[in-house]
Amino acid sequence: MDKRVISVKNLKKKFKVPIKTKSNFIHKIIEIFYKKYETKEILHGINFEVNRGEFIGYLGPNGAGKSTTIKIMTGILIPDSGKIDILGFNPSKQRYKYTFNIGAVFGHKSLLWYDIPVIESFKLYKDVYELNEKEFNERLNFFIDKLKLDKYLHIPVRKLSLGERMRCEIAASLLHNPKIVFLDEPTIGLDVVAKEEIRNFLRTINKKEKTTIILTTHDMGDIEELCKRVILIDEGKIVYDGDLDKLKAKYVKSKEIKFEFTKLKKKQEFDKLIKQFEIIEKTGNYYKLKIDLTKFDVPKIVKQIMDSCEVIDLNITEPKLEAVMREIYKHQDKIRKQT
Amino acid sequence: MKRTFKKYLSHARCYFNETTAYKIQLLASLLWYPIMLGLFAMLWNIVYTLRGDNLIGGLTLTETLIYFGLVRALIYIRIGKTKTSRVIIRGRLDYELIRPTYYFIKSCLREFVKSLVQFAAALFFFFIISLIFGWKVQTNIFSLILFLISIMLMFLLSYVFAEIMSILTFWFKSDNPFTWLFGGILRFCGGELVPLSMLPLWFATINNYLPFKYMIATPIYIYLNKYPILESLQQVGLQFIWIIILFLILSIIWNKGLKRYDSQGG
Repeated sequence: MDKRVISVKNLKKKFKVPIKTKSNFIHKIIEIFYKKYETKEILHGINFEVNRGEFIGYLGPNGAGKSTTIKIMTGILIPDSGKIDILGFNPSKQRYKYTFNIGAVFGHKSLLWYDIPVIESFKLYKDVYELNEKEFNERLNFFIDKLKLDKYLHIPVRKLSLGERMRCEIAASLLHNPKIVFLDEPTIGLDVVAKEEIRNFLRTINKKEKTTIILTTHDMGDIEELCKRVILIDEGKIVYDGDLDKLKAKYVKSKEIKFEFTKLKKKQEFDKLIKQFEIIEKTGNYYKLKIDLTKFDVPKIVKQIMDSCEVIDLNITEPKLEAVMREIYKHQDKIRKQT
Repeated sequence: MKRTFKKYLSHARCYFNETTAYKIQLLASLLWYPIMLGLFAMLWNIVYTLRGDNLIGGLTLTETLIYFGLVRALIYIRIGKTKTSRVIIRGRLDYELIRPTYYFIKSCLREFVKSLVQFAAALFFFFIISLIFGWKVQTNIFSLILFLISIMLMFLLSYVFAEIMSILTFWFKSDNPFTWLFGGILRFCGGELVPLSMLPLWFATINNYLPFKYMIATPIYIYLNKYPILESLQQVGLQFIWIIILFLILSIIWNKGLKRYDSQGG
């Protein structure tokens, strides 16, 4: 389980980007002949390591450098400097042999052939990854079973819905049973059912086949459901690398207590207690309170509630990861402004 | 080796399925050939009648019509533009780079398969029309074999040249300016518009040092038996040398381009 499969050291990448000029007609004409560019550093020395079988969420706001890192790790982009070792390969220099070991899905791009039936694309990838008939049929049956592909196999890709296509995309990228899978927004635009099916499938291959998965997404539901470890990147720098739970503990400033009671035992005490918190929702004897963790201790409050009324239902919930991420981005923004 | 061959054969199958997916489009492009040839025949009949000569640029009227019959067929496999520019712009190169395949083999195969159906059909039309109108040339089996080899080399040369223009997209965001510019030059210097032997000698001398005539005129002159055997061999050899030179240039530009590739989207 602890065998290292990815090692990224001091990874840097710059891009040339055009400088925005005035949008009047004369400037547009000048731009045809002469356009000014500036060099923007996208990655400022990224470091991390990944062990076999880990399921990692690689997160960050738009333009943080997530996709650039993924594309460097898959060998698509060539880094300006730094050292990258994945399964003993340098991705951009040993591309041919390396690609037998990885799979990738980019949610906004398709690896299937648009005009031909899905099965034809699968057969093509069978030959591309040099699989024999037995290996291919076993994998195909596995995907048909887990992703319910049987209905779509003989339909041209152009006729599939986004959810159907995405299931096929994932199957095509995992046909050769890669050791590492890079997923860039694999559930983008999907409905709840399709998302759940894909999440279940990814969970299965991660557990059963010990496939290492690096997931980039803006859907925090994917992360909460699938990833134990997250790497958070902002402006090309890693700002957090560790357990998802610890990340939450670090940034979660409040919790919610939802409860319902039949009758009050100590009305005065109850009223005094409730006044201290923000009431998010109140319907009859049902309350939803927001507890500021910097001021209050949750177990203590729960005890006070239980003492002051006859509780029939009580629930403590943490804010969704999305709210946590919002807090983190705000925090990062604040640091940026200060510096 | 067998597995590698199978890999590209499988690609060829998909390219073929893709090409034949839109049958009406394919049929329309096939019907264009006899229409164009009819128009050329009318035009050159007028030219020969007005000039009153049997020979123009060393070609009889029949030879000129055969020349244009072959030009119209060969331009299907004379690649003027490859898909690579769009592959780069739309970021689809990402998936090409993460597969255990060589991009240029696939790209070349794609262009070949894409043009093969139309080329074969045009060639079929050409031989039918030749039979109907009795267009015959004094040729021999050696010239015919060299003609076929020269066609293959012509395809490869034009592919490499078009691919060089396409990958300039890494720098210029499009290959259109180059395909327009060089497309025009290629049409003229390659002998697509006027047979090269009808052009002045000084032009032919300069043209001999450029790759364009090897991309269309060379196989036709070999078919018309206008070169002595040794010169035919020399012409085929020059086609081969140009492929090697341009492929080296392509490799250098490709490696430099990949460093600049920013993978649009995402």
